[in-house]
Amino acid sequence: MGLFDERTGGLVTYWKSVSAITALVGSADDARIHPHMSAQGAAAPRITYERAATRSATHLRGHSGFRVSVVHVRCYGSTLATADALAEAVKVNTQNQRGTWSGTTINHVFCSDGFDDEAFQRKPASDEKDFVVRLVLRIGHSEAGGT
Amino acid sequence: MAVAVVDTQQGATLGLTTDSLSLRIVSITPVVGTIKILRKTYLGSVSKEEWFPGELEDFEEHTVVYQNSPGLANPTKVIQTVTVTGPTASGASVPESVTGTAFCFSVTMLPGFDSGTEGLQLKTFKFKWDGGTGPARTPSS
Repeated sequence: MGLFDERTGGLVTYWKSVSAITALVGSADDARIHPHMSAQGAAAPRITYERAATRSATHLRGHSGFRVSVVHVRCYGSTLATADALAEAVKVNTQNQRGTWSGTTINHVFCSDGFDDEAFQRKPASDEKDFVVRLVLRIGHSEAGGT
Repeated sequence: MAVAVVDTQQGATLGLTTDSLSLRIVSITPVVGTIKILRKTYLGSVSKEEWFPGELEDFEEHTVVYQNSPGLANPTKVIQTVTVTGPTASGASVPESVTGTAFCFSVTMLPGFDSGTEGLQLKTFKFKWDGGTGPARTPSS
């Protein structure tokens, strides 16, 4: 199982284990956490995430089995305050993690970049908006094929 | 098939026969032998400087940087056979290498730590060819 797979990947599984996050986005299979795009009609607050870049560490015999993945996380809310509260919950409970997520060794999680905000009109000619707070995670973790 | 005329640097290894460590080496400085340049001219010389090549070859100290494996022993400072081997080039069965006796004289006991970096822990050791045996080069074939 990949670290960033939807529903059962290590990152999503970890977030689903944190009550401060599930209290906002729902739990288990109903958790509103999706890669890249939200599920159609998904309510707020919700999370989308996408892997923006990766970098592996090499040595002269090949790959070391260590990778840094940069993950962009978007936290949606019907108000800026709810989006911001979700982003804070994600940040506080994800940064500084070390250990194992679904079999993947996590060496570090930095959240040194972010936050920035934006808003989308939910429907044309409507006052309803989705506010988004984006943060960037830098996750150092094990990868297969190391030597 | 002829040995490839060019190659990359990945696949190079360094062996320490006594320590027998499997290190994840990031970089090895090149093997460089230098002889003294001796002045041939004297006070009575005219026209231009002249020079002799010295006879004794000395080899530069090496610095090896490797990724730390916390459970692995550090290199020791005894004299041992050291072999630096390049990657086996396309079309070759024998890689280019240099081997000789040498000793480590500077070994990182514990790596440095920097909160601002995402990189792996690194250690360094330095070694010097002792001149007893080699270093001798085997070309790729």
